[in-house]
Amino acid sequence: MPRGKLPYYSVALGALLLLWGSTWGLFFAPAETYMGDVQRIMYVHVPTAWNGMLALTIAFFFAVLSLWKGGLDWDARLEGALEVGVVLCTLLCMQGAIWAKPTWGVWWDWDPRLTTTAVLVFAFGGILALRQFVDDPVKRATWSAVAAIIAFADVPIVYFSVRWWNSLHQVQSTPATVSRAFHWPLRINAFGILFLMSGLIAVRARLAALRREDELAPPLPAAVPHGASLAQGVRP
Amino acid sequence: MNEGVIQGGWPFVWAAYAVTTLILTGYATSVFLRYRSLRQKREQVKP
Amino acid sequence: MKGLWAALRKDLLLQWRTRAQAAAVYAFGASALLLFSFAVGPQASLLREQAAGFLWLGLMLSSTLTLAESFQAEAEQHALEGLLLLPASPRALYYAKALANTTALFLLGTGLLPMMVILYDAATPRVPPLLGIVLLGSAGLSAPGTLYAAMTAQARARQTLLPLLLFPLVVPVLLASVKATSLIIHGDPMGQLGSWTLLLTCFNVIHWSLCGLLFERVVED
Repeated sequence: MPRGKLPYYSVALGALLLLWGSTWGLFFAPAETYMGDVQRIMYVHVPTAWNGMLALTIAFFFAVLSLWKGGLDWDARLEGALEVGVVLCTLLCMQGAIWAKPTWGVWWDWDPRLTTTAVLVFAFGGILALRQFVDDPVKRATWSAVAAIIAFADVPIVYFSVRWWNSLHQVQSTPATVSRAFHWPLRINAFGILFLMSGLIAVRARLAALRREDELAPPLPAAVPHGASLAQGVRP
Repeated sequence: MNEGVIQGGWPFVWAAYAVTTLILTGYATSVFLRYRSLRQKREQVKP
Repeated sequence: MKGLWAALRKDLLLQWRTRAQAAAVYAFGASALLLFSFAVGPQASLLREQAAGFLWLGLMLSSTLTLAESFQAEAEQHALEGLLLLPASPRALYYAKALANTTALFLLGTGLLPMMVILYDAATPRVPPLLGIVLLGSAGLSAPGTLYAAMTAQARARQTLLPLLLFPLVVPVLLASVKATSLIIHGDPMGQLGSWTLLLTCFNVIHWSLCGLLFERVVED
């Protein structure tokens, strides 16, 4: 696992971009014709949606690589991408509820994309839970990868089934139609969350890698005399 | 002014941004703190 | 192929030998259906309208018991390692187990139909399509369910993990089966049954192939 400072810069840059884009969207962009000021929620909601899905897609690729290449490095990255993805998707559901209340009068309007996201939070969150209950690191890595691949393959089916299920009862709500005047704050925030997300996945992956190293070869206590051969430990 | 059909949406806008800020900063802080503490523990143990 | 048949015979025999547990699972499912009526209230029209939903919820909850049990023997007796030493491929073992689970769930679902008819007044003369949907739904639950049952049989906290992992994945099965069953019971003026059946079929095709491919990695040492 690399040790450089790049993820920290990425997170800092992301935070700055988010601050810029959000300030623009909150205070300087015009109010929308039909939704009024509530539409400003889109400046964080849409970027969160893009990046949440991206994080889970990245997790899928890490899962494939983990199964294909083996070793525990890809598993550490998978853990990072899974956790960040679940956090972003949970945030997405919360934002969606806050947007739905003034718009539709209910906290949850069964919008297919948001409903699919909720299912994904449970599906991928369940994989994070699975990891807590498997003691063997190799099994944990294999099983998480298998589960992530199956969950990801399920995404389109879940989406279509929810869409068909919902379409009989409700006009499609499309919160993400944003007209041209509003593009810039949206793009800035999108890149903001992108950099934030990438940096967080990297740091979280390093954390996972460190924990794995501790698991496989626990560091000896400081009481061992300096230079003793036992201090070598067993490194893979 | 041209404020749209939905009036008085500002509390929800603030709520959405507040939730976003809280969760993103909270999670980022937790990841950094956990990583830093694990790094420090290992530096202490290494001879 | 030979491996598949032998393994299938083994699994079906195993199910037959543990049929007392299957009866208990059936009792669980039937009582779940009863509890749903208590939760909703004695309005006949409401119960009839939601009958399909209750049936499939009951079947889904019961399926966790059936699926978890299906690897009980392997987990307890370390029989899994023994099975893997045989010439049959892990894929054959998976398909055999999944087919046996599908059979068990199909029998369970069919057994719950009379409960549905009695409790919710949801009868229909169109029995073959109904059985077809029960079969497709059972298969849809079994495919990922068997894989995750194999996984969680080897992990801690298996009773919590299996439904936790399985339920989000089989949301399409729940939606499609409920819709299809409802259309069969109440009539299908707009001819939507085909689309839902297609969705169930696609889900089954994708998961029976994908889980079959991945099963080997789940049980390897």
